Amino acid sequence: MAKNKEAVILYSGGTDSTCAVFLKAPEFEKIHLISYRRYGIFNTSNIDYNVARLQSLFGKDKFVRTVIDIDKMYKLVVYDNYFKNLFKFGFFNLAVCGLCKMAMHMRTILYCIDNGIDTVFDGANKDAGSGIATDQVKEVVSVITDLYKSFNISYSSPVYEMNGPKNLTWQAKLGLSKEEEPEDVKTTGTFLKEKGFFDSDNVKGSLIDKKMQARCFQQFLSNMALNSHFIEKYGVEKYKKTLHEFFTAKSQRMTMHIKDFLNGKENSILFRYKQ
Amino acid sequence: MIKTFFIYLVCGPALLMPCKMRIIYAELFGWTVQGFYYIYYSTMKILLNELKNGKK
Repeated sequence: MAKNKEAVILYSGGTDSTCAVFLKAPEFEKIHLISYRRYGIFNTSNIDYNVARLQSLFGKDKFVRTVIDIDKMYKLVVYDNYFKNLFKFGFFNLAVCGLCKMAMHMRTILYCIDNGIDTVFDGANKDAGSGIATDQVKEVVSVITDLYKSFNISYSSPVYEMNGPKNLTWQAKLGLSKEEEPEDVKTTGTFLKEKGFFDSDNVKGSLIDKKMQARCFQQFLSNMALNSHFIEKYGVEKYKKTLHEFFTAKSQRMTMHIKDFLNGKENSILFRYKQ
Repeated sequence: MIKTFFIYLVCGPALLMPCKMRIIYAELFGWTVQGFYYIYYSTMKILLNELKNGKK
């Protein structure tokens, strides 16, 4: 079967996006590994740790490595139409991870258009953040997929349906009880361990995990406002529904901005915000 | 009630902050939460170790 030519993978250096590279690299001639940095994301150079290992496995020519600044794009996504969103969605405006990811996807669309690429993957997973991560719940992923579709780009995560590692209880973390993983559970970690890329099947939160990923603690505000407050008060279903509405509103505005930019409208805001 | 008040007290101002200030504020808050987590976790671990040693 003939190989497809090129694809983009949004690469964070973590287990899920590394697994996405393993699954998709054989299908494409060239993979663009894109990482993003902005003010507030530290140690982005850590990502290179696994990039170098991937290059030694698949060959150096297999990957095009790019790191792009998204400070301005992030600012645009967060503060565009801000007061209207503030009154309508309140604390959802603090959903840092979802907003940051949307800025990354927006920049990826521009990158794809610049380089003539029509396929994008990332390491989004249904179980990330105990299944309620603002950037990876199904409702938000569907909005992102539609955003890409508006520009004839296909987007998916090859690891979305894989299981996440089991969250340990306090008792287990302190060694008071033993909690064993069911043997047949397939996670991105077990996949990479089988391939010999990691020694352990769950490196999440470990020292090695910290060594290979950028660091950012800003999600605690949204965790507090949304997970500890909104979900407790209104339930998960309402949370996911509101997330969907919030990101749909954002996505519509961003689609408009990108189209204005591509049509060369002089007053397009992206002329100032694209880095 | 107290929890809701605390959440509004901490998260409310962040909604009105400009971009960089909000990032710094969220980072500081994140570090504080992590600090409490590690202090709690390590205290519990030390206590449990001492109890285990005492039992032996």
